[in-house]
Amino acid sequence: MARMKFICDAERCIECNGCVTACKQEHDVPWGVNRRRVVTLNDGVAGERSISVACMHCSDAPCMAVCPVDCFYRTPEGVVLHDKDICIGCGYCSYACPFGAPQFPSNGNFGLRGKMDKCTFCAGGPEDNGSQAEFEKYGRNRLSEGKLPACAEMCSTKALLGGDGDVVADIFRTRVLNRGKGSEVWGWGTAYGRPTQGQPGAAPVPGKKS
Amino acid sequence: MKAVRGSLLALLGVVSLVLAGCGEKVQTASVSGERKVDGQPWQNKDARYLAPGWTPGDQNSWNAQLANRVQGQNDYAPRK
Repeated sequence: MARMKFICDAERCIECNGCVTACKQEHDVPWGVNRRRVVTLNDGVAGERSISVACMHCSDAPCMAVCPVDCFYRTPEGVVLHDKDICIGCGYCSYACPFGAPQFPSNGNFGLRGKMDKCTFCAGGPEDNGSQAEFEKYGRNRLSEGKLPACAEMCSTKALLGGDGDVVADIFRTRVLNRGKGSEVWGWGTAYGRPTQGQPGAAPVPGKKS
Repeated sequence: MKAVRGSLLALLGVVSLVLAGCGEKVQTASVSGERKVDGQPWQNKDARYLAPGWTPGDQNSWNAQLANRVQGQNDYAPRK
């Protein structure tokens, strides 16, 4: 079973914001909500880097841990989704997320904060796949159409990779080997863990000398 | 005349307030309070936007489709 992940190759991102536009267009995301955005580090300084940031669908998602109404769930493909019919818009997930992924539309009376909205890895939500209800609440369900996230598939420099984690990691590794630099992947360790951050190391293989 | 105009204006005000309330989307928590179960991604009854090359409902076909599709992001993949 594929485990869906994002990688943003900072050596390739040119800050065109095409991914942001594609996401907003594909899901009809309202004003004031950006499921994906481009962040530039050291802007204006030689060697600046841009990265495209959205929900990373973390392996151990903090939003899931803090949600008081347990509206989050993880699909077998590793996509972290939520049920908007359960969400109460408390904003705890927003505080917990290291990527600032949860967004809240201010579409109610008196500045009332609406239900949380975030990147779905173009996998919709807990409604019938491809239904109008799913589109209105969560946007298009491209995975159920046999496609990958719009942001990654339309990235003009192929900086943003999205898909099975093993495959996109292989694609990125091949690039790094070919260009001989730029192996840093921002957010990867935070989202998917690494042994040095308290995660358990790889299980030893019986009969194999380490 | 003034009284009629005043009451008409008041009526209009009340009607616009009532209609404004109708425009507010319901944001109450679901009645059951339980999270709905999501379907499998390879199940899709709406065939309008399906990518060609796979059969809806067939998990292996869907897996193969995504494995093939992700290579579209690979500059170093061998060209067919």
